[in-house]
Order: sequence, then structure tokens, then C-alpha cells
Amino acid sequence: MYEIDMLLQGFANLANEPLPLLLALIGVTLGIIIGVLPGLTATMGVAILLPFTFGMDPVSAILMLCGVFFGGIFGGSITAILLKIPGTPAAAATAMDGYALSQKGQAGLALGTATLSSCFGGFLSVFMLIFLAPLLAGIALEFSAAESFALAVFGLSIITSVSGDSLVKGLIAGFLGLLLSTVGLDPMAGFPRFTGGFNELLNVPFIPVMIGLFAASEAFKSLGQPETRAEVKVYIGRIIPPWSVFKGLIFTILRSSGLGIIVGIIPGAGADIASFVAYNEAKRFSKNPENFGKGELKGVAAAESGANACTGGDLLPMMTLGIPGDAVTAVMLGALTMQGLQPGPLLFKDHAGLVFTLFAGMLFCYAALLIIGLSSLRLMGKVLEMPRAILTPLILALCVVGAYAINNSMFDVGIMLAVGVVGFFMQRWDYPASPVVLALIMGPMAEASFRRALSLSGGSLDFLYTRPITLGLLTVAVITLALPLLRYFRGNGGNGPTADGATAGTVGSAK
Amino acid sequence: MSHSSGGTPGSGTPRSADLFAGAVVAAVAVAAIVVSGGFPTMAGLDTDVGPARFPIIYAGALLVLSAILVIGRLMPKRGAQAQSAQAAPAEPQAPAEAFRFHRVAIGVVATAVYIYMLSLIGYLPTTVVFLIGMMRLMGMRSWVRAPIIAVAVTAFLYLVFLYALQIPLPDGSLFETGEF
Repeated sequence: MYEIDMLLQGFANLANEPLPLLLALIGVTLGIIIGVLPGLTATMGVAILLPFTFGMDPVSAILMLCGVFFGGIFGGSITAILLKIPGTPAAAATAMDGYALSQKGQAGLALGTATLSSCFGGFLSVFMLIFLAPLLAGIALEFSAAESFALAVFGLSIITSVSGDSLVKGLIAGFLGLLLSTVGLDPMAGFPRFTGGFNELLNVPFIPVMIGLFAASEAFKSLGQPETRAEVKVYIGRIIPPWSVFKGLIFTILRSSGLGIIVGIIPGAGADIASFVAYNEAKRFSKNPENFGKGELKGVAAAESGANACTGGDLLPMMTLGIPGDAVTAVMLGALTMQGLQPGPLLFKDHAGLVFTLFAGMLFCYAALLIIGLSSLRLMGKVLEMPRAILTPLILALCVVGAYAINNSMFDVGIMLAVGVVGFFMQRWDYPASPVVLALIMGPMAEASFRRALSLSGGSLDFLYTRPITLGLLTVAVITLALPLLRYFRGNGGNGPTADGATAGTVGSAK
Repeated sequence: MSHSSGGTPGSGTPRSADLFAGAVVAAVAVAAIVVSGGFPTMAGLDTDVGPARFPIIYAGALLVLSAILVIGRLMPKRGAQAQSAQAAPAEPQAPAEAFRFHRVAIGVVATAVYIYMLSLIGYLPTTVVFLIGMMRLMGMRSWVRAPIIAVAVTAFLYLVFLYALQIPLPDGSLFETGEF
């Protein structure tokens, strides 16, 4: 089989050159630490570390960021279980049962289960990625400008509707991102728009915006928060669950991974939604759902496998279609572009060897996560004792240096700071940040392909409804946007006590 | 990060903030429309919509959305106005201590000054001073630990960027020593 041959080839490439593997290890470790620290999310970790990967070769750079991504999603569960502080939003579902377990003196069991489930979920999702990505890329290769336009609109519509607890604010964030994405050279005529005469603005300074939005804004927020001291005083105990216990979890893990993968593939829905969906389904399928929330190991397994299965799902549309599945993959898309690799179907055609080396490396990352995770669980409690008085200044310094290093430009640093301040207020006032970046990526894609399609069709708008894929995607986009609107106008201003309402709340502000 | 689970987020944003944000968004949108008005039109070429079309559509949508936001906040809400707790802190069980806005303001200004000085007198001295200042702002009072950490972090970043990534950090325009 083509995929397996290529994957083996990828492993051989990695084995010949161990530097990327070493960097992946560092990435996973950093990712876990970032995940453990409350307020530091995987997105922030990837955004801050991105400038450091600038000078590396593509495989090393992407694998290191993948390590941070995977580790960051997993790391949040450690503090969720030990302290009921979800280190990342995705771990909020883990906290419910994980913390109850650790109060029963079974913290180790919960941690071990979380690690194993995370890795299983992750492995499954990377395998899914390996087999589905070339397929999807093959289909997408046939796409012309009209389909690309529909795809971008489709992605954007989902993103704005799933993120944030207020649809209006989600849409405002999305359209602000779209408007920002028009800064720079216009894609057809090459006319500079909104640049104010600055050459630096001929392209949207994407990475400084990311750093400002996801890292600097968090640091500013942290400045205002009262200092809290977290200390782990929990008996950890046995870590690896006995086979008899684990056996009962396998089905839950498989189902949750499947759900996580699907949620991941949907643009805009990230690990936080995946973990809640998986958790709720596990509860629904359970014979004794009343145990959930009181220390049910299945709850931990479901939330964690769901969250990590989301990683591969997120990467799938990002790598094959150029549509990031969520904010982290949006930053990673920036990293790929920075390495001169344009995500999309052509990536699989022109750089197939490299892509499969990356896939092999991702599997390695999850193996590393398993080992590092299991062996460092007892140490990670200590990471929490790192005072914010050191951490926050450090993050700010990293933001400044990182924004500078991308282009050796102080202008970018200024952009980073401005966006950081705006991002701080957005977060404060419940405007989700992810639609901004996703729109920033998909805006130019939408505009350029719309205008290209228009000129291909000689100025007629027929392409919007004569091509089946385009029509289908656009219809789904309209429905996604119309549904919440209908619900909104029918009263019940979205205060639904459902899990979806709750998760949607977490997504927006936390990313 | 809003509530972790269960709790409904409620309308956590103060009314004035929504009104203010709505006004800012509307202003940005109007400005964008005005500026776009000056873009060249693709007159005679009916196969392209020209550079102004998309920004104007986006800005128009923003105008409508900000109007919805502002009007929604000005109209009296049926119930559910109760829990206007300020945007919940990250930790669910964190003490309900007030958010210190002045520290954020000082931090932002300090970062801006740091960035400005960085371009003048270079990375090394400014970063050390900035880090010490920020650590003190955040309550780290030790005159031993803070400088040691600041110097270590500064040096580490400088060396990593210079040797591992081959990106020299700025020396400062006043000294003009670097040749990059």
C-alpha cells in the first residue's frame, strides 16, 4: 500500500537524521509543561515557539510544534486531575471526574488513564490522518477556484457559529478578521489596501498578530490577576491502570477517539469541544451515568481520548485543504507557510516524502508523549509552583523577541503589542479570538478564489450554483449561519444549559 | 476562560463595554468604507469586482453587527440580567479578588517603553531592566532572585537566537555596532 510504504520511508528518513526527533522530544516536554500551567494553552505555546523554529529545516520545525501541540492538549489534564484547575480549556471535562478520583485517593489511576487515553486517541487520529489525508488531497486537487471559494465560506461560517457564547460577538470577531485580511496587496489587481504607506503591511503580518492575540493578551490578563498559589498535596499512588480496569475502558476510548476525530475535522471546533462531546457521549452510553462527575474513570478516558483524537482531525483539513481545524492549527499553518510549504492538496503532490516523514514524526511524538507523560507525572505538580511573577514577564519578553525575529523588524513588534492590547479587551469582553485568526487565513483564500472564479466564468456568477460541490458547501454554510439566527430570534437568547452551550462558552474566550 | 462546565456564561460583559466596543467596531467599519471608496474601480472590466468590493462587504457586515450589539444592549432584557459577575477568572474556585486593571495598564505601558528603548539602546540592557521591573510589578520583591533570573533569561534568549537560530537581536540604533 502506498501509504504504508511512504510511512515506512518516513520512519527511515527520521532514523537517518535524529535531530528532528530530538526537537520533537523537546517540543512534547515543553508542550506538557505549557499545558500544565494554567493560562498557557497549546495555541499560545505554538505561537510563542514558532519564531524559534524559523531557522530550522521544515521537518524539525513542524515536528517540534506538533510536539508542543500534542503535549499542550494533554498537559492540561494533569492539573485538572490534581487540582481541578484545567491547565487548558480542553481539560475542563477531565477535571470533573479526574478531580473526584484524586479526592478518593486514586489520582495516579486517573493520571495514568488520562495519559494512556490521550496517546491512544492521538495515535488513532494520526493513523486516520495518514490514510485520509492523501485521499482528501486527491479530491481537493480537482478543486478549482469556485470550490475553493465555497470551502473558505463554509469553513468561516462554521467557525463563527461555534466559537463564543454570543453569536453576534463571534461574527464580529470573524468579520474583523476578514477585514484585517484585506490589508495588503489586493489578490487580483495588486493594489495596496489599508497599508497607510507602510511597506511592512503589504502582507498581513500574520505571525505577530498570532503572538499578540494568543500570548501577549494572556500575559496582560495575567498581570491583573491576583497571585494564587497552587500546591499539590494529593497522594498519587499507582499510575498504570491494571488490565482488568483498562479493559473496560477500551470501548469508551475507541468511541471517544472517533468522535474527537470528527469534531477535529470540522473547521473551528477544537479539542475543548471534542472533549465535552466525547464525555457526554460516554455518559449517555454508560449503564450508570449517575457515576459521572463523581469519579468515573470512563469520564477521564473519554474526555482525554476525545481531546487528543482531535489533534489529527484538526490537522487533516489544515494540511489537505489549507483550512485550519482550529486556532492551534491556524498557527501551525503559519509555520508551514513560513517554511515555504503551502498547505493544500499540492503539498501532498509536491512534497509527499516530507509529509509522510512528518506523519511518522507525529506518531513518534505520541509515543514520546506516552513515555514522557507516564514518567513525569509526579514531577509535573512541581511545575505548578513556578510563580506567575516569573512566568508572565518571561512570556512578554518571548513575545517581543519572537515578533522581532520573524522579519528582524521592530514594526512587527509594534503590531504584536497593539494586537495584544486589543486581544486583552476582546477576551475581557467575551469576543472569541479564534475566528479572527481563522478569518485572517481564509479571508484571502475566499476573496482570491471568488475573484479568480469570476474572471474564469467571464464575469458571471453562475459558478455559485452550477457546480455541485460549490453549491453543496455554500448551502451548508448558509444553513450553519441561519440555524443559530433562527434560534436566536425565536427567543431563548442562547442561554441553553446544554453541554454545547457550556462548551461553546469555553472555546471562545479561552483560545 | 469562562466557566469550566455546567454554569451558563450569562452576560458577563458590562453594558458600557458592549456599547463602547460596538462604537469602536462601527467606527472601524466606517473608516474602512471611506478608505475603500478611494480604491480604483475596475471600470470597463466586468470580470472583476475590484479591490474595494470585499472590504466594503466585510465592513458593511460589521456595521450591521455592531448595530445589533448596541441595540440589543440598549433594549431592556427579559430576565437573565442577574449574574453580571465580571468575566470569570481562570480558576473556578479562585478567590473573588478584584481584577487589577492598573497593573495591566502599567504592564502595557512598560512593554511599549521597552519596545521603544529596545530599538534605541539594544536588546541586552533593556530586557534585563524590563524583566526586573515586571517581576517587581507582579510582586516579586527580592533584589537577589529577580535580577539573577532576569540576567539569565536575557542571556539565554540572546545566545539561543544568535547561535542556534542565527538571528542577532538588535544592538540599538544609537550604537550602530551590528552589521545586520
